[in-house]
Amino acid sequence: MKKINLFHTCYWLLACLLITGCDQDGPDYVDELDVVYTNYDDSFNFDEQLTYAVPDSIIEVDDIDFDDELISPDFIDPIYGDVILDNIVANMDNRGWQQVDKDADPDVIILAAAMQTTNLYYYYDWGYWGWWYPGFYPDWGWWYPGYYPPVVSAYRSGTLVLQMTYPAGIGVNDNIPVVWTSAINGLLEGSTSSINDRLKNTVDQAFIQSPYLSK
Amino acid sequence: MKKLIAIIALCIATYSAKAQELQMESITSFNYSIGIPVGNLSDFISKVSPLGFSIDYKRAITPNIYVGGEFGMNNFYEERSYQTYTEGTASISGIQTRYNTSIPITITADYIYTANNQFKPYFGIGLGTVYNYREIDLGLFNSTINTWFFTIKPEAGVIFNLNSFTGIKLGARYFQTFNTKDIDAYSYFAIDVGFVLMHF
Repeated sequence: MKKINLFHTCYWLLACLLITGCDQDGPDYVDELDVVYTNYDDSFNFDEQLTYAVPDSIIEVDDIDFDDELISPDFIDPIYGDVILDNIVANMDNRGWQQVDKDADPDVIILAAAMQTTNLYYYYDWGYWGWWYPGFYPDWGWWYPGYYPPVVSAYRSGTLVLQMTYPAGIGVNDNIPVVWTSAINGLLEGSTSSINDRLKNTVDQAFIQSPYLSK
Repeated sequence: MKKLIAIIALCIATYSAKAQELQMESITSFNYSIGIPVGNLSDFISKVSPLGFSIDYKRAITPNIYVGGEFGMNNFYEERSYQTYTEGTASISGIQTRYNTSIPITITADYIYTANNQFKPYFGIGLGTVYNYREIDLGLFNSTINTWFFTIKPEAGVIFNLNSFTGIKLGARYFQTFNTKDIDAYSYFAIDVGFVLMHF
């Protein structure tokens, strides 16, 4: 008859207990890691604004140093960019806004920027928009009236930043008021159609959780 | 051969009877533990957790009173459905996953009824600390808080003897922690099923 070794019995009991006690679950799918953040200037009257303009490309933010120069930035692939821009337009139109050309004195302008970094601030250089923004002046900068954007730090992820600016409200310090912002973050994993589905859903969500944008 | 078996059986029976008459010097138990959050912890994570264990060792200081120590872990975990959380003008949407790991380390004093050879009910109390790790994940972002609580732990249960030296334990412990500057006091029940080694 085999002799039972007490030390080994205790050892295996302990190992089983430790494994049982430490086994935890986590997210199973990439889209479960998608996060949509929005914030806005609550003193701004969105109801009084009607028209908006949106560029036809989404800039890709990297580490360009503009130094008051007009440099054309990189743009993200239209296969993704068009999905984002189409959804922005569809959501704005559905909420009673009217799209106009950037030179038709729009009430607000929506800028979209994508970033793929490991650690970044919400801030990126205003110079990225010199190629498109009406009346662009290199000394301008961002201004978030009454609220502060968060620090975004991410790993192997992409962040899409949407900024709704108010061109008529340029401040005395040459800052462009950003009256609404959204940061959409998620893992850069999956097929093109999968990523586009997630982009569509998350852009929609940014508008769903911003009811003050509806007319 | 039959005689030999009879002699061996008689020896075992005599030895077991002798062991039961002897003072049980110490008890060691290895327990699988199910955590049931209550109070503040239930507000944070309402799900019952099957992820836990504890190990304890007790020595007799009188025929029925045993003192010793206990170490354990209860992992609470819950995934919230996709929700939008709003604070002031900011809103954030995502799937939130919450974790709370409690690691109690206590000194214990138990009263064990040893009159019955088959069932040994017991009750006791423990005092000590709980190391607590709390984490909230939202997408790729997370926030964590580590803190140490003072804890008091009443306990009751029963040991079923398998033979003179081993047994199965069914027990319930209640951990009550006290406020810290980081996290408010919380409490939970731990329902234990354990394997017991008795030393004479």
